Amino acid sequence: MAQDTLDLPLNFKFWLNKAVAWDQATTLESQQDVCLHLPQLQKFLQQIYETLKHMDFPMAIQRFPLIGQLLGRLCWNPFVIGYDENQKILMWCLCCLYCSEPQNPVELEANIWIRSLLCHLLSSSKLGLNEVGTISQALGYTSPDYYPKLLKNMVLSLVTELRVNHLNGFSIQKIIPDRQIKAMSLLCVPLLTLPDILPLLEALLTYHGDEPKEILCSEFLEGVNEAFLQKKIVLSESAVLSLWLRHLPSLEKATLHLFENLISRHRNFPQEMECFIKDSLLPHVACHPSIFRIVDEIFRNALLETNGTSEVLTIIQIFTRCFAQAFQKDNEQLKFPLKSYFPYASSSLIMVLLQNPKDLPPGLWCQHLNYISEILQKIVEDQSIQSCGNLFEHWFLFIHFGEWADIAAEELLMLRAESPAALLWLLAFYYNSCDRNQERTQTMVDAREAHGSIMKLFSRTPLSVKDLQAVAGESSEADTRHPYIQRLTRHLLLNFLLLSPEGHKIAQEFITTQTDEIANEFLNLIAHTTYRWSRLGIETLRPGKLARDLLQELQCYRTKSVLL
Amino acid sequence: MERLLEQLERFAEVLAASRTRHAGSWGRVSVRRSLRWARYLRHVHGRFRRRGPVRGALEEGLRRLRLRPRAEAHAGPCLASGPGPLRSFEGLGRGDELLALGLLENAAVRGPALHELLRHLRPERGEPEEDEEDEEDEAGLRDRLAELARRKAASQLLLQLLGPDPAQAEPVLRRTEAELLLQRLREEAEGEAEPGAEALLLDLLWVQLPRPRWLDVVTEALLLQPTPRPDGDEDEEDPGNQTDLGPSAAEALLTWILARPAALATLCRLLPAPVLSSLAARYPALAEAFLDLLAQWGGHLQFDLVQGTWVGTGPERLSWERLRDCFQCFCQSPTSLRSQTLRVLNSYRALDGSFGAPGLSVWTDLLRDLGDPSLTEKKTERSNVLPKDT
Repeated sequence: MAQDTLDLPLNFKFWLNKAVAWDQATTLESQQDVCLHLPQLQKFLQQIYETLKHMDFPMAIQRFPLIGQLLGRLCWNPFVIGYDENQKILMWCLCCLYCSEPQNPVELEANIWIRSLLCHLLSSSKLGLNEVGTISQALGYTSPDYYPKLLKNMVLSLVTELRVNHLNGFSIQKIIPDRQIKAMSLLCVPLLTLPDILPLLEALLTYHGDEPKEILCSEFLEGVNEAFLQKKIVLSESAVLSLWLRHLPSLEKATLHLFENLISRHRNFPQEMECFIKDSLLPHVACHPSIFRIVDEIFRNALLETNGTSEVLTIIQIFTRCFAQAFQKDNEQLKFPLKSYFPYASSSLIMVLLQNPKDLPPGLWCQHLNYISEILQKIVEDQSIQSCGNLFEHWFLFIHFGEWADIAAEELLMLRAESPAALLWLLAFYYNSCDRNQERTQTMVDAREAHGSIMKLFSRTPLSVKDLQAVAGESSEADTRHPYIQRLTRHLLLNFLLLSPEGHKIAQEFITTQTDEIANEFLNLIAHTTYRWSRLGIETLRPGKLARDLLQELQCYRTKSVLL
Repeated sequence: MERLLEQLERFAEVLAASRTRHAGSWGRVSVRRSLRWARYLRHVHGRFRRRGPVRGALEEGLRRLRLRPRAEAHAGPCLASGPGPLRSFEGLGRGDELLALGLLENAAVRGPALHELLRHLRPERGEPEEDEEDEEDEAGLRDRLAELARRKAASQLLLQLLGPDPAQAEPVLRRTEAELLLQRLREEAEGEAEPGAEALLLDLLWVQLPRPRWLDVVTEALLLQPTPRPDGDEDEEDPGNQTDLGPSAAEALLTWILARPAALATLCRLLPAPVLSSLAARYPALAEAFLDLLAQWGGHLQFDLVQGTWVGTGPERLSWERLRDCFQCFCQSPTSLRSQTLRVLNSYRALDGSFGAPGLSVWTDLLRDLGDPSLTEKKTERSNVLPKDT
């Protein structure tokens, strides 16, 4: 801060020069320059005010001899006044400078000048047309009555013109040439957060000219996207769709913004995450394949960069679920073929994965899982000859619909599977999409072993924590199994704890003996499981309440241990 | 309640005085006090916005204020019958803005008083005498004034977009003025002031505005289509709610026009024929009045044998072309206006003697020009009596 105040005289000169330059030119370039500098200008004005508020007029003049020129020029520039809080700060500065008892002609002049500037800012003056003020004055109205109405009518008129222009698209004569539409978008940049302008913003966003080139200026598109992401404006879905379709950086920024928000939150419950994701409008606009593909690309990169952490997996899964909901609900719109969303995968697989478990009776889930397993195995075994990139794509597709893997784990423990091998393969594939035959065989052996030992726990009474630890491989000094087998085991183990009455009793005890990381893993699994049960409406068929109570107890324990 | 009404009265006077030379005598204390009243009344407005007994009492109080004869004429073109800018309950919500602007624009207000006002318009005031609540309200006033400045700048920016030619912005300006007119009429109607209040207002406008201006605004006001509001709830902050403006406010205007022959005559004489026709199509009462007037004028036309045309001789000197254009547009209207017009023309033609030949009755010639099929039939009937023209 001290640094800034030292720089103030230098900055002052800079901004005064800028103000002079902006005054004299009304070209597109100078307007773009203004728009570019508006945020910094506001910060600078804030600093000036902070300095001025402790001073009276003589002191201010001594400190900033040219303050009058600067303030005057800025006040007459509607770009500056229309932006955010500039007008407020400028008014404050002017109020600071007013002398209550002018001692000399200079101060007297200054007072008159300040007053005229304030009147210019606030009251109805001539807009350069024939006696605009007369009628409103005759009616007894002043600027607070007049300007809101005038602005509303201007916006209405421009929106109508844009619509007509759109309809006349194919005729030679257009009312508004493309160049002017660009100018229009630039003029809106300082005004983005003004609520009255919203209809014009939407009309511009949904406007398409003849040329394939973008006619809206990039400052406008970036500005709108930023304001939307910061929740400073509320746009309709079609406007947002239009924005993201026509301006790729905005879409990328929006996706990354969502990602950052979700990952930076301290505690992530699936319900909250789902709300968050739905609010961002991304799942719904992702029904447009181009948008879906770009968002998916960002997901893919995130997954690869983080080596497949469970947070990223969860985000992808919840997003896909919201997307699938939107996709299936959209009856009126033209549906794009599934292949356009997942071009690297086979359509039969996509269709089968897209099936919502809610639409199937729980008794048929096993059968469906078998089917998925069959298709995937076939593809994978075929692919092992081909590139592993393709294998990754199929795994990537599968993890989008990770819900089925969760259901597979559950079904495995409920002993309803006729051939647990198929489901086990699915779960193993979820945790490790290995591409070497020997590795896969070994994985299957380990998985079968884990499954077997957990099934044995059902018949063991009384159940002790040690038994669980043995299965989890913690009792042995060196657990030589791969991390993914450990994760798979823990997944199955947790299902056991939730589904068996004996398991309930010692679940909390067991989990609290785990490391923080693993305990968190369990916690998240429980949260997701209970949410899934409530979503699929099978809470009565599962120990939903028990699971929720367990979750709550564990959370309390966790917060306590964190505080201590 | 008594005190509240008292304060209301006093504030109304203060607000009215803020724009006159009387404000020149105000000092710091007066300004501070009046701002405080404004803030208080804004609170009142916020609390009693829902229609109820308190709001009713306040509106009654305002009505009484308007009916009171003015002690002295106030400077400025504000209407004599109102207590200045404070006309309605809604006005209480922005009393502080109006007060601030009034003082700012009033050249008579002196240094210390204005300084006091400006002190209230910025955050750190150096005199921490007011408490937290006031600070919040003051912030509200500052924000609202800032928003006003922002909207004004936005209007200036968007004005450029309406077109390089200033005339291209005219429709927007006219529409705004028309909306203000209707809003004012609605305020008068709701205020239930003395019955002649709306008429008084419209008389004043008739006198003050240049004729073309007056024509534009009045026509626009009568033809205004209400813009559909996306949200159905009534927005109390915006008394100019379009969906309410349509029928009732325009009716007052209509009544006034029908009662003022001069205004009616101006419309008939100066408005472009298609516009006149749209007005007639929308308001049957106007249609009748127009037709009557036009018929009256038409009766004054005489056929000039030398020139071979009809010439206006009456005091209005209405031209044949004008008459014909008006009737033509009326007949092109899709509504019952067409049949009404033809009926009038035919009845006048009958009165004249139902001539078929040109040059004898202005009504015949009008109907011929309009391409009335019945006339050509009549012509063939009398073909043996009169020579054919072509």
